[in-house]
Amino acid sequence: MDWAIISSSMPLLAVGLLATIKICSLAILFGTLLGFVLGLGSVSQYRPIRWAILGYVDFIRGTPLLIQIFLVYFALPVIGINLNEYWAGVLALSLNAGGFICEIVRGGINSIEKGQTEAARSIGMRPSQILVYILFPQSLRAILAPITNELITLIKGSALLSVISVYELTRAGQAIIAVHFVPFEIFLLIALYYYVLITCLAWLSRYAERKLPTW
Amino acid sequence: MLNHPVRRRLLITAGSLSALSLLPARSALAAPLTLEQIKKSGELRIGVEAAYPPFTFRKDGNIIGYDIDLADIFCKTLGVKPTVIDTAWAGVIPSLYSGKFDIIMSAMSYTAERVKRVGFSLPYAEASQAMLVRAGEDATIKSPKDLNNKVIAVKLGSPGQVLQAKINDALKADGGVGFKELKIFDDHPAAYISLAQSKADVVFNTVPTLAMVLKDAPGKYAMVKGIGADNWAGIACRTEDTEIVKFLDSEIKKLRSDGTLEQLQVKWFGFKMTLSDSIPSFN
Repeated sequence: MDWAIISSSMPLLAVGLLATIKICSLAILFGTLLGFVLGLGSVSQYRPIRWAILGYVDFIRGTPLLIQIFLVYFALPVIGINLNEYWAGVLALSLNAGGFICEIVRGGINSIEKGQTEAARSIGMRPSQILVYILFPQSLRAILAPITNELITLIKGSALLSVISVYELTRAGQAIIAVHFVPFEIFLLIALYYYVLITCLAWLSRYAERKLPTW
Repeated sequence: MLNHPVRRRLLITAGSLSALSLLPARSALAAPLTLEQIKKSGELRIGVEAAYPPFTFRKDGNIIGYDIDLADIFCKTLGVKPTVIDTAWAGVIPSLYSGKFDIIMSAMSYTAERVKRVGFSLPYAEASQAMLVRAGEDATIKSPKDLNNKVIAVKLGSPGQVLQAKINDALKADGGVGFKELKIFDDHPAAYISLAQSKADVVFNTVPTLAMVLKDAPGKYAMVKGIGADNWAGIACRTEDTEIVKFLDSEIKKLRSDGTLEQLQVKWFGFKMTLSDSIPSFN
């Protein structure tokens, strides 16, 4: 074990970790928002909206994240949208997470007992009101754990952004290995950084889960 | 067949043990690989990164190129069959030492770090660095001095990654602002695309490979030569496998004197290369 390399690498990897945190935070924010909007839309009574969302989710789930990243970074410029690697990364991760979170939200809403809808309707609520005030709040606690899973997958998926030259945690480590040839030490260190980051997110999620009301 | 895998496994175990027990040496416990062992196993395992035309690349799914033709000749001499193993470039040296293959033949050029780490053969190809820019921009980017405020793209683990740091330091020492940004890609083709899409201004690579890019995409790019010192590529072995290095050196000398190497160069690059008779020193 090369301790000199480890101690000199830690600050370099921290720069990469910071980039990972920045990109993932933005992608978590946008991806969750997108997922909620799509999820609520997917139980809409309007068929075209449901079909459009179904098509989107099918595409996201049916193609590898790596290919989606390449599409956003290398293919979008062909139709005039030329994003730099940072925003291409945020966009690709957000679009991907949005598709998966949509399905989690849809499942959560559908799992709420039918009597809730009937009761709400009987006191004169409109379908959109029932969704927003009755069904969605009750599903929140149930969907929090699977959404956390999805966000953890997002953080791990951010390692793939190295292929479009985003200088994130994985790429920062690879750059050190490429010059010093120390795969054992550096990959171990990268694993540790990811583990700490993901554990923090998991703690945050458990905390939020406790704060949410139970029914 | 038997000797080979067993030795590998021992080596891997030795490697991880030494890492765990904090021993500095990585493969000191492994016995060197001999030509006899290779002949007995019936195969020479060659590590390449098949995304580097015309040295090694995939065409219709098969790995071909200058390196592969040369490997075939070496294997014929040994009476064994070449097994080409495609691997990610950034992990190519660690993979050599963990026994995934016996030699690296993938246009690996000499650098100070690599010379310390592997046993190199004599040069078998030219590998001087050059810059690839968008067509017409060679009017403004004529030398590394013109790289202030430019976006540089290199490949992970390539000599360009080392060279760019030196150039950037020199720019700053001259009172310049240095590069605007450095982008590190997994392979050169990705860097070329980002250059064409104006996400980068300059890509570093070797003269023969960039000549191939110019040929394949006419009118898109231009090459700026004469940056850094002349360099060459050699075949890399584990430092302890001196017998293999000696064999490769004698083969390269033979192929140079009988003209075979030049024939291969004309076939793949379209020109004859000027090769050095020794490995460049880095002091």
